[in-house]
Formats: sequence, C-alpha cells, structure tokens
Amino acid sequence: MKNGRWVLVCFLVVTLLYPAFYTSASIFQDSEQEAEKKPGHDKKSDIIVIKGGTIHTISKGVIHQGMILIADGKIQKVGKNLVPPEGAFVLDAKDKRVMPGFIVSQSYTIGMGAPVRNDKNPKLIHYLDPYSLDLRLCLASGITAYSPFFFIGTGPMRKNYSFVNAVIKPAYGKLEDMLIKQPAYLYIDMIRLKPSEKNELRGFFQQARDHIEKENDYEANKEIKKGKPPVASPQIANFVAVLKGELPVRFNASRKKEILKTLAFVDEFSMQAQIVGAGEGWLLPEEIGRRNIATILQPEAFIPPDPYAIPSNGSNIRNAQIQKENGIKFAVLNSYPYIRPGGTIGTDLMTFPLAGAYAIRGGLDEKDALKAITLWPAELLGISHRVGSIEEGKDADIIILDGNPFDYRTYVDYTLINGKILYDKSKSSLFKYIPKPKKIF
Amino acid sequence: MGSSTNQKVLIIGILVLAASVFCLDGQEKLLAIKGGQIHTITDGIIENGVILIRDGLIEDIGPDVLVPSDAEVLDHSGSFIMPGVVSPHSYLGIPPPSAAEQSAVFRSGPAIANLAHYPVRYSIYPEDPVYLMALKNGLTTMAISPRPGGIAGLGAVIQPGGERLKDILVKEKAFLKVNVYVNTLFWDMLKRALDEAQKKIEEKKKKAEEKKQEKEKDKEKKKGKSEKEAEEEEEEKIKESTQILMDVVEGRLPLMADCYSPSALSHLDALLSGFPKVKVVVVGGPEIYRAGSLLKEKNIPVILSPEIRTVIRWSRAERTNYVLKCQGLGLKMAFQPPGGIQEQIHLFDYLNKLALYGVNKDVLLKGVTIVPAEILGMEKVVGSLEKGKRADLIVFPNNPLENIPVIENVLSGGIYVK
Repeated sequence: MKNGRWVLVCFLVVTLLYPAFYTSASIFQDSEQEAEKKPGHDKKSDIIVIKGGTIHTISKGVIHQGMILIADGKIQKVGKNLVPPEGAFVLDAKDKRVMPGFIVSQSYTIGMGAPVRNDKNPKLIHYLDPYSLDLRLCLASGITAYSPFFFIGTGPMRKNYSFVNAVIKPAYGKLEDMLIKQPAYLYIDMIRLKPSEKNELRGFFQQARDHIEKENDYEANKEIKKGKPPVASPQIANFVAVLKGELPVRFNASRKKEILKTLAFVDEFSMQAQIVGAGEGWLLPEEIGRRNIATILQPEAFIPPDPYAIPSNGSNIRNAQIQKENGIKFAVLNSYPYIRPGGTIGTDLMTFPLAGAYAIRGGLDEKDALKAITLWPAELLGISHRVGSIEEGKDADIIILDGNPFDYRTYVDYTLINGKILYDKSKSSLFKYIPKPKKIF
Repeated sequence: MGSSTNQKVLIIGILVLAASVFCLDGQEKLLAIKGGQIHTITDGIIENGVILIRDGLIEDIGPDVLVPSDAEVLDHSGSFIMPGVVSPHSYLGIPPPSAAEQSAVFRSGPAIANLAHYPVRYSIYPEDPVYLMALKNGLTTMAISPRPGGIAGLGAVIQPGGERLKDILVKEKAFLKVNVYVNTLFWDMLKRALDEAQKKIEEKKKKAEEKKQEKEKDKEKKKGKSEKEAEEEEEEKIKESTQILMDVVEGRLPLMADCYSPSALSHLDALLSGFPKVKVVVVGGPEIYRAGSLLKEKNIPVILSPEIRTVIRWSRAERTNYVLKCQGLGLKMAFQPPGGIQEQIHLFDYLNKLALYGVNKDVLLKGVTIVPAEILGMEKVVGSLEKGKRADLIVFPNNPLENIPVIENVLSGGIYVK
C-alpha cells in the first residue's frame, strides 16, 4: 500500500510540474512555428546588397562603410562607392560587422543519421538530413560550412581510418546546396590505431605508390607502348589521390608521444598531413613546421600535465601563438565540436569563435584568430577557392554580426548561404527574446 | 452455310432473352434513400435530397428526384449522409513479420530487397474478420500495402464484403510501395533499379524505331511472323520486376513512397530528379510539413495520420498539430489512421478531434474520400456521390465532425452492411 501511495504522489507532482517544463521549452516551440515563414526577402529580387557595415574581407583587409553586391549566389562586387542596382533587396548593416561565415574544420555528425551496420561503402551525402534542427542552430551561430566524419563499424570492429567524410553547408531544407566536397581527407585515429591497421594502411599506400609508378611509366612510354592507361581499383583510388597531394591526411594526435608516432608515419610516405588536437604541439613546433604539417588546435581543451615530466608538458594557452611563430598553418576548434541548445559557452559549436578568443588570450593576433576560424580552415579542407573570405566570385556565405566576433555577448543577425538569407535573428526567434545587453566596458 | 448462321443467331437470341429474364429479379431492385444532409463532396451539400440506387450504382441524386413507385424507400431524413471512406494505405489483414524475418532485418539493416514483382494479393485472406469490421465502420474501399522494406511490392485495392478473393479484389496493381531509407545501401538499390528500367525503355524505343525503318525499307519482303516471334521472345527476357519499374518510370503506375521523415522525402526527390514522369504519392510522418514547399511545388499528395502527436526534439517533448500546418501550406492531403483495425475503426473520432482543433471540415471529408480515390486512380468509381458511381454510403444521425461520431448505417454497393 505504501508503495502505491508513493507512486500516486509522484504522479501528482509530475503532472502538476509538467506545465513548468513546458514553458521552459517554449522558445524552441515558437521557433518551430516560425520555421515555415521564410525569413528575408521575396523571391522576385535575386540581387541582394549589404550596405553600410564594416566589412572584414579577411584576405584584403577591412572596408568601413562598404557595400557587397550578391547575385546568383556569388559575390559580384565588394567596395566602397558602389551604386546598388534598381530593384535589389537592400540589407542594412549599419554599425554591424560583415564577414565570411565561420568554417568548422572538423565536427561530429551534425544533421545526419547514424551509419547503417552493414553499409560497407557508405557515402556521407546519402545520410544527410536537410531538415535537421541542428542545421538551424548552425545557422544561428554563424557556421556556414562544417566537416563531419564517421568511421565504418562499431566497437572493437571499428576501422580506425576512413574516407567517409565531407564538407557540408548547413543549408536548411536545400539538399542540393549542402555538399561542397566528398571525401575531403583521410582520417586516421592515431590514438586508437592498431598495429594491424597500420600495416593495412602501409599496404594500401604501397599499392597506390605502385599505381602511380605505373601511370608515370605509361606517360613516359606512351608512344612506344600502345595500350590503355592503368586504372586504380576503387579500393586504392582515394589513396592514390592522397599520394598525389589532392587529399590531405588527418591524424588525431594530442600527446607528444602520439605526435611523434604521427611524424614517423608521415616520413614513410610523402603526404600532406594535418594533426587534429595537437595539444602538446607546442613542445615540437620545429619538428611539425619542418614537415609542412598543418594543425587543428583546440585552445580551450585541457590536457593534464605529467607531474614527473621535465620539461613540463600538458596543454598550453600559448599553443596557437607558438605555432604561428614557427610558420605552421593552423585552424582553431572547440573541444567538443558538436552543436546543441545548451552547454557552456566556448566549449561547443554554438559559440564557435570563442575558440579563437582563447587563442587570442594566449598571445595570438586578432587578425590571425579571425583567419583561423574562416580562411585557414577553408584552406585545410581544400575549399578556399569557394569560401573562406569575401572576394569577388566566391560563394556568398556571409554573416552579419552585432559586435566583435570574439566577444561572448555577440549574436549573429543574419546568415546567408549561397546568396539566400537562411537566418534572420529578428524573425527566427531562436534568440529573438534575448535583449541586447548594455555595455559598460 | 446460310441456315447454320441463322441457327446460331437464333440460339444466341434465345440465350440472351433467357439471361435477361433470369437477371430481371436482381436488376429490378431499386432503392431510394431520403436523407437530411447529403454531402456529395464534389458537388456541395444537398438538403433533404434523395439518392436513387439501381443495381449497386447511383442512378440519380438531387433535391427533387422522382421516386418510382416500385422502389423501396428508406427514410433517413434528418440524418447526415456521406460517401464511403476510401482508405489509401494500410496493412490490414497482412500478417506481421515472423520472429525469424525480424531478426534477419535486424542483422542486415533495413531491407534493401527489390520485390517490385511481389503482389500483396497473395497475402490477403478474404474471410479475415478485420475486413468486415472495417466495412462496418465505413471503410468501403481499402488499399492494402505489402509489408515495409525497400521496394516492398505491389499494393492492391479491395472492396470487402465477398467471400472469395475475386469478389473483393478491385485493382490488382494499384501502386508500387517503396519504403525510403536515408542511407547509401537504399540509394544505390533504388537508383540501380530505376536506371535499369530507364535503359530498357530506351532500348525498346530504339528497337521500335529500327523496326519501323526496316519495315519501310523492305515492305515487299514479308517476314511478319518471324518478327512477331522475335518480339515475343525479347519481351520474355525482361524481368517482371523491371517491367513494373518501367511502368513506374513512365508514370503509368504511381509510386507510393513511405517517407516518415522529411529528409527521406528530400533524398527521394534528389533521386527522382532524372525521372520526371514518375507519379509520386508520399506517406508522411508528423514532421513532413518541413518539406512542405517541396510537396507544394510538385503537387505531390501526402497521406497523413489524422492525429495530434507528441514529437521529441532536442530532448524536449512537443505536441504538434501537423495536419493544421500542412493545411496552412495548402497541401493535398489524404488521411489514414496508423496501425491495425483497433485504430482504423476510430477514423471518425480522429477526424472529429482534428475538426475541434481547427482543421477545415471540408479538407477532412475530402481527405478520406475523393483525394484517396484520386491517389488510387479510382476517382470515376468511388469517392463522391455522383451519378454512375458506386453506391457506398455512410449514414450518421448528425454531423460526425461536430458531434460524437456514431455510425448509423453503412451501404456498400447498394447493400446494407450494418
């Protein structure tokens, strides 16, 4: 009987408190209803003009009170004294910062389903969900490109290297606009890589090298030997691309020991390498720099130092600045590259630019920090010809901010992808209810 | 010669006469139903009208129809009459997958089999009591779909009431059912199947053209017989499943795609971009309205469950009236309750609730009658009360969308079933 009474009491408490839970979720519900209303302009005017803001072009300096002309999804003109064409939709960015959208060089699977167990040769585009709400969060936080990846298999059967990755734009509801590049790199988890897998990789690279030799041989003796050019089997086609320098290789390595292992592996085959994490990268900047390896840093991630190590190790806030001094190209990333409507600021992609703010605290120049969240990640992903800066002919992936991107108080006002306004803070109501704080500092 | 033909004519004449005499008993059955409020669906509401039924078909309908003296008159004046419900998609009477099959699906992931040639009629057991229960609750025409999984098979349309399969089966090939999964395996499978069908169609066209040219060239040489034989042989070579997919690609057979999530719909749309003739019908889930612009743009009808459902997003539960959202977007909707007979018999309760929550009553009534009839290609037979259509009626004491829906009578093909 006692038990029964307790159950009843619990039930009553839950039912009485339920409205309270409900109201706490209300801002997200409202945002849902607003999803149907298309933000921005009517479809008639295809030309958009962004006027009056401070334009950070990233590659060509800052333009005050400038103007950007967008048509056909591309940036047509950038400059100071332009005349907007008649009938163009004018977006007033007075007292606001205009800059290219943030590019996340590495993320978990945002906006897609989980891989199927028996899918031996998955392609990332077939798993995308263009109606995922996570994409709307990405747009609200100013991210215009990200790069998810997953491994094949789970648990002990997992292969710790994979080509299943892509560069994706979070174009909500537009599947055809989403994909930029697939695959973008070979991902190797150096921390969990088994010796057998390492040997497998060596085998693949060896086959790829043989194939390239055959190709070269064919090219040299084209006139003497008549025959078809050698064709790489689908299994090693991507490895051939890696050895030719078309695709980079990403190693997940954070500790000094893992980084040294990575360097040894890179020395075996000539490849374009990148190190994700590199928390102890500040201990061997010359080694990394000499091999022309790029790094993807997580300035906010904490790595505990070993108390007996001399000299001391662990994470260092000056990591980014030390990489810069040694001429290493790098991008910055949050410690938990996933998006969710909650969490501590600076730790996940909802506040992506704060990863740059941590690097600035470690001595990095603000200009370089800006590059480390826009242009440099684009270069690392091999998509800098399309995105990463505000230049004529590039994709119109532009965000308009109401303040310094490295300030925790800053919100995104507008997000454009391929010249379409996909996020408008005043209409989307995801953060509409948050008032602008009065600054006293 | 002359005498024998005369004899033949005589015999046939006698047979026809005899047949007509035998049939007179059945044909003579005339039924006149007086109704209070007759919802014809396509032609507005008739107040205090009369429906004249002969031989299971509606002979006349209107406010002042002359009732013949020999007609049996049934007085339902004061009641609400609407056409019988057409259910666009259900698994009624189809046995659930066995434990072994389920575990097989679990092991191999979502089924990626191409079962385009599998007709669901083999799984229908006409004496199954669920069909009679459905009929008594107003579902006079039902589309039965094969069990889910990849390209699931051919759906059939039945009108329950008979004891044998041939009595209840109306349409053998009503649609091709496909369950859309968002993964590379499914994508590859469907793409390969459609590409093969497209290739076969092009080959067929080419051969036809070549033959035409050949015929024009040598009309003098007559090889008619051998050519015909060759044609038959070639046609036999094409697989049955490919034949059906060819019909789908050319738009002769609708493709019923089960897209629970809007992302499945967007992937299907991307897949079918190379096949513009395909006629798609979408079976949608509670979030399908997100892809509403896609459905609106291509005028794709959508089959929805008439519910107000709770969906969980960002780990928060949320109640959505997605039918109202779809109505706001101006989509063409048909309604089908989810699950088995326990839910199906409560169709009007679902509709009643939606009407209470602000969905247009006209949209609701059309969504269970004429829209599903159009989806199944049977808009000339069922779906509304018009001259020449099948006499499927549901009689309510009063408007089921404003009051508690209690079914008074159901007529299927002019016969009382309740």
